Amino acid sequence: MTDHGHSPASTVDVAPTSQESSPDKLAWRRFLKNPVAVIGVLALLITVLASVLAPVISPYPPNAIDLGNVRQPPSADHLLGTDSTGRDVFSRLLAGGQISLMVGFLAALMAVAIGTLAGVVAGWFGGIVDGIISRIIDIMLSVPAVLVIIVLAGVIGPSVPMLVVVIAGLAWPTPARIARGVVLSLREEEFVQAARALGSRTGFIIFRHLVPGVLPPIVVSATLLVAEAVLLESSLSFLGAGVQPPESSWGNMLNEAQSLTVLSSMPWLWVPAGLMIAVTVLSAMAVGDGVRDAIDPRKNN
Amino acid sequence: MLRSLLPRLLSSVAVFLLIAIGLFTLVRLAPGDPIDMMVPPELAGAPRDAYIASVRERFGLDQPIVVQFWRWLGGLMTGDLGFSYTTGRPVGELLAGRLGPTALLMGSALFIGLVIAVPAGVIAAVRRNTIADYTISSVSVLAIAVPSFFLGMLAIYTFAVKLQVLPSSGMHSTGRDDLGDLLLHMIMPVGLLALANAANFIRYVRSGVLEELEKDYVRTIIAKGGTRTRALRHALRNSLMSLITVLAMTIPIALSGAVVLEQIFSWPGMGQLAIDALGNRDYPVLIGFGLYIAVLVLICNLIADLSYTIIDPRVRTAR
Repeated sequence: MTDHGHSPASTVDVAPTSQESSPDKLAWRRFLKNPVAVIGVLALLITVLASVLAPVISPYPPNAIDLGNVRQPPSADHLLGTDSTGRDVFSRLLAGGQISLMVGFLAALMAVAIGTLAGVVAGWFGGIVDGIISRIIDIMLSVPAVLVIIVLAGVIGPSVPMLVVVIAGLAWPTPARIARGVVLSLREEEFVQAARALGSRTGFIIFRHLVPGVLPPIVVSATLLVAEAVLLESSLSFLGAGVQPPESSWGNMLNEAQSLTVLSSMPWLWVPAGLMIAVTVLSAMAVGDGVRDAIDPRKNN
Repeated sequence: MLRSLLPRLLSSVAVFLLIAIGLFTLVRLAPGDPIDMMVPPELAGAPRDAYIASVRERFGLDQPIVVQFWRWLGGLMTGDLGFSYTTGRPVGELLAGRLGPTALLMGSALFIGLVIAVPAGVIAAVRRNTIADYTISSVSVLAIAVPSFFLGMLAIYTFAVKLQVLPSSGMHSTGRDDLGDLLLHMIMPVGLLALANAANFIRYVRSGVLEELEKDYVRTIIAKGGTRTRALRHALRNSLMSLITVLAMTIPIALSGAVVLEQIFSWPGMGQLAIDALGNRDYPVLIGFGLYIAVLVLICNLIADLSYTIIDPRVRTAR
């Protein structure tokens, strides 16, 4: 990462040996000392691993219908029971995790890429460019993604790629605003002024000096965006505007459990999926907060 | 002030027109023909084609696309949003009919959300890094992370199924339309939406108050022998001012929350209308809903700008 923009080493937990006190290492050590963040990382890792390995560990194909075994409570055969068409809930939960996490990570990655570029450009060039980009950011920040996607899904049909693109297309203003703010202050720093005076090209300055400086706060924003995107995807799939059956996602598993009979007497059909969403979102948020505290310890105290 | 507002107003109108053109194009590019779904299944062959032609004519779908756009845009200006494909009723009327329940749900949830968030946020800021702060912040993080539809299902399970103290859906019980019955139906959806709103606002209030408390004038008050309460009163006033802007900006986002909760609690609002239209591929209703969101977002942005100018005299004179 970078060797600027960090606060001086805090004296509390650091041995003043030159090897160990690089800002990155310090941040990493502060992060490991934050129990909530570490639990978040572990929970997220387990979820990601379970989803990636889903084809291997799923006891049944997630879409395999078994009409002889409908709405069975959890048992040794079916760890989390079966749904209204006899599909194994545990297998569907793993498959759903795959889609939910993929949408979350891809959308956050795209949003961060667009947002960083837009923010850096706005902050660096200023003037009309900044005016236009900032105005767009202002308006986009209050655009309700759920509602836009409902309209789009109704008109062009719901699909996973559409979900990723639209979530990213609506989420980039948050990282953009952060990147813009950092660049506005970096622009005045001496090393940037020096690069300019030496005749470095704009592209070089942006990618060599500005983007690395912007990265730490952007990483924080990215983890929070993953949480947001997972929540969005599950809400949309719940409403029927996201992942479509028979493909499973955590959101549409809850959608299929909306009847009062399922709600009252078959909790295995909806509680696990709801818990998975909550745990994943909470973990991503905890990681984001942990990274923020680790790279900028002043903010916390 | 008017001079600073006029360009913003004009740019809002331009953005709205762009969105309108975008939505119109989208519908024409959409795959599938919703007319197919309107044909009575017993029709076949020539009578079927004739029926389809008559429907096309009724909705003006036999005209060239440019003509269709002009008609549509002209209609928009007079508040005519076309007719629902499924019910045949005017879209404007359908939307207007659903406005009341949604406004009731959102309005009361925003109000209750604020009533919870302001004191909670102030306490969290003043008692920073204490048990009180951690508790308030944790609850607000939980309320954001746990999806409202899951909370809604848990609430229905607890209060409607197990305890049987609250109705699980709708606005009224059959045959009743008194206030008490309505209030009983409102408790769960309004409560959950208020919780979601409060969770959001608490973070703004907390960070806003913290920011103000670190400013020079607060130190000056304390240095001159003023009490903490007195300092807080000044800080509070300044930080809550910016909350008005945040409030205006989050209203469209809060509508998303309302749509999800309407779906769980069968609340007869705009969200349900939109979700039904999604299922039925009812384009005119979806487009009407889209335009409504666009107007809402643009108006809320204008209000945010305006409130900024009115509240903060420095912004007013600077322009």
